[in-house]
Amino acid sequence: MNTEKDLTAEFHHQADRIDGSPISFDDVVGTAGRIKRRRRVTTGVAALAAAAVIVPTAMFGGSLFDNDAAPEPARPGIQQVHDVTLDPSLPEGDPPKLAYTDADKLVEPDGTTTTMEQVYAGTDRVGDEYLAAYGFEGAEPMIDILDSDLTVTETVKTNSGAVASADHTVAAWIARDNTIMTRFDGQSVALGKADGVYPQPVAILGSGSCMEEAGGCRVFFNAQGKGPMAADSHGNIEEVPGSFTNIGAVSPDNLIAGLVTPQNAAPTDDLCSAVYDEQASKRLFKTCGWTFDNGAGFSPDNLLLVGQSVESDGSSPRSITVVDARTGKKVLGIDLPDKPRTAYIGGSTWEDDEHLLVRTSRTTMTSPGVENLYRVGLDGSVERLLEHDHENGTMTASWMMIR
Amino acid sequence: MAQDRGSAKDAEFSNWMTARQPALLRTAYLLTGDHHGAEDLVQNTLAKVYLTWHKVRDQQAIDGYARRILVNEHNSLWRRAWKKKETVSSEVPDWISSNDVYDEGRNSALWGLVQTLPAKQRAAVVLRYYEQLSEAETADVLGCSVGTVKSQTSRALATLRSNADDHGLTRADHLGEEER
Repeated sequence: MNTEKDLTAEFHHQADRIDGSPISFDDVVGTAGRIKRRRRVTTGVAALAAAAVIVPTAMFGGSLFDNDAAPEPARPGIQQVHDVTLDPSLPEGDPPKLAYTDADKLVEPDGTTTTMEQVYAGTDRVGDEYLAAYGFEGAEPMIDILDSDLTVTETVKTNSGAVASADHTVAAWIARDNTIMTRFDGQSVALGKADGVYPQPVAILGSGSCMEEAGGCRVFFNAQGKGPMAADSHGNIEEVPGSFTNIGAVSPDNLIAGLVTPQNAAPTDDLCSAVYDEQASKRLFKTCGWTFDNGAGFSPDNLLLVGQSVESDGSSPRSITVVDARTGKKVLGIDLPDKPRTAYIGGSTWEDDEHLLVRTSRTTMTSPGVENLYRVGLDGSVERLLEHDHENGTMTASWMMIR
Repeated sequence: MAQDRGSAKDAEFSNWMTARQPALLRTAYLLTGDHHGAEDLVQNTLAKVYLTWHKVRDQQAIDGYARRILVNEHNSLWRRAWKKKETVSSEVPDWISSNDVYDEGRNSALWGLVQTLPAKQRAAVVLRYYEQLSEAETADVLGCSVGTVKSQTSRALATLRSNADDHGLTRADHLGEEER
């Protein structure tokens, strides 16, 4: 028996019977919408072992952008730009200094572990409460509002996960009927209704209260078929300035980062992003080949910004770069090894002003999945923090960092 | 206006999808062994390609990217089954009798045996002997080393040979030649 030839013949025999295109474009768009909503709440951080090859590249670093020719260090105190390669062979470092979820457990920085009602796809903190999203695997997306004891006090229907302000005193989500909801002081207040399909919140600016008389809040969101919009507590819903097609992050001092390549651009055109200063009403810089969505966004001190690579074949990012948020000047580069190609960066989150937590993920033929979590310092240091591996049974769900 | 911009991209994707869907469906069927599973797999794959369509700068690479999603999505489904603690028997059933809608009652013996292979071995042989990828290309799609592709392929072939002998299959049985 020539098994190879027999197999080839058998495969063709079976496959040749199959023809036609039973899946419609509408089917695909509907599925894409569900995936997109799920992703929105699973872009936290996490992961396993990392070794790093630290390569100081150049004093004051290479320039990524058209207008970043200034020779000064991108940030006070940073004398050298580093490029690091994440490689799962480094010794273990201290646990994350942020709380995080590991399947149905909430793990505090001191190691205290509490079991939650279920496995959530994403969790945000607002005051003493948590907004925990679930139902993105083929079910209806929902958000549980948990009290400080992690008891569910309310459940709401949603389009996607929630976002919280930098000081975690106000939060927002968009309800299934497109109502833009805010949460603070244990109460929920609507700001208005979003247009477009599957509107998804990106950021909320505000502190303490979203009541109009208390200064109010602004909720930034993207929606399919519309440009990015912002809703405020005065009832206004306006286009976000800066000629963005999609936004990825907004800082408390009104820097907006997002995609600026028009949706009708030719496939051969570069994919470009920009940062816009809303207070100064001007674009600060533009870069091509990097995006600012689904990453850590602005650093807690608002000085730095995380960009992710755009792979030429459209696959998930394999490198990220930390840049000066006002000039685009490179501060730190983080890459994966050349092989395997199926490894990718699953997400990143700022641990503090000087450190990023970076989750890498890999699915292989011999293992359903391996995830690594690394701590990468602006000084080029890299530590391995956590590991998940289906082979040894530790992997049930990705870690989700809670800032 | 925004709708117009979106429509141009959608039309571009729709054209690609129309051209590629039958081929993706065929590979998905070989991976899953049933048409409902294959359609779900392809629909998820197309949706993921759709979500990144605006980022694609190398149109030549998109077919390979879609294939990688397809296989990894299949592994992911297997992973979810694993998480639910579904068990996969290592023993070959007496016979694989279920006829899929595409089979039209013409299931061959070898096809039945292929469906008893573990997902990873099955993916390796589908990519090697149907897609005709090299070992290196297969390794790239599966995210493993060439050595792993060799070992998995070798194990799959050994299993098929052994089980074919155990069931006393003839070459005609293997190929369902009476049907061709």
